[in-house]
Amino acid sequence: MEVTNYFTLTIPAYSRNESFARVVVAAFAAQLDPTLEEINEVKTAVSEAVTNAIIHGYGEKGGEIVITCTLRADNTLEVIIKDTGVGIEDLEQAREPLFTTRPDLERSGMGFTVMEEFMDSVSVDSKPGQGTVVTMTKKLSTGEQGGHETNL
Amino acid sequence: MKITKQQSGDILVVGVSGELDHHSSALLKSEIGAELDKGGVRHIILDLRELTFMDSSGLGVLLGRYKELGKWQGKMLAFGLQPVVEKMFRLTGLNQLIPVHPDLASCYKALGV
Ligand SMILES: Nc1ncnc2c1ncn2[C@@H]1O[C@H](COP(=O)(O)OP(=O)(O)OP(=O)(O)O)[C@@H](O)[C@H]1O
Ligand SMILES: [Mg+2]
Repeated sequence: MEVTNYFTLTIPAYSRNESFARVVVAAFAAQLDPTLEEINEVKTAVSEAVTNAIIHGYGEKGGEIVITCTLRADNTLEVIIKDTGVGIEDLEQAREPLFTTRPDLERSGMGFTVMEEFMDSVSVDSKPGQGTVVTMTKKLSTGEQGGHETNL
Repeated sequence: MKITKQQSGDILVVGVSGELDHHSSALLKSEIGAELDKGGVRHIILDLRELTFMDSSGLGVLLGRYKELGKWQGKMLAFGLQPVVEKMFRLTGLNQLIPVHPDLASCYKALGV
């Protein structure tokens, strides 16, 4: 499907950039005039993936996160969130609800479940020692489907 | 994120406004922790009317405080959830541990006040 718009953003893995990342992706998606609910779902999924990169990927010691967003002619948003941190040993286990390697940090292992619930597709590519790439897609509605309000 | 705290008897009402994520959750943890350390708090009511965003980090910090209250059989209740926050509560099952009420009065009533 034809690409209609895109951007790539590189940010340091600082926790204060979590809200920045959410807002940037939401602003990009808003050009389609999606519903408030869709925007909130995208924001939440982005927050989960970016937070995982900061906490798990880089162990809160910094590093870089690359966010690539693409819009296609069929109104599909694709968000790719990439880190070059420690990677994930067992992907299947990591995606299970309630599985976390960091209960000590009050994590509850729901991040991937939330991403899967709020986006249409979530795929994870990871190699221990090399990093993790999370690719998520979601088909958004457009204003033509009935005048929505947007919110950033 | 902004936090307000108001105690009446052994009930602490905590208002959380803005966005609750990994970045802001540390503050909520320490603000509630400071009140619990003083002693005298048995139950917590969360006023979430102004909370516009919450992800799994918010879930983690609320669960953590819920467990602390459990040490003395204290309860945690919430009211005023916006749809996006309510969805997180439902999806993660948090609403089964932290009952969601329509308003403050109904929270007090549930605590027998
Ligand atoms: N970018 C990443 N780099 C390395 N490990 C990761 C990454 N993302 C996730 N993981 C691993 O997958 C596990 C599950 O992730 P998930 O987001 O579902 O839960 P969590 O982050 O542990 O808890 P929560 O998201 O509920 O706070 C993590 O505990 C971690 O071990
Ligand atoms: Mg997570």
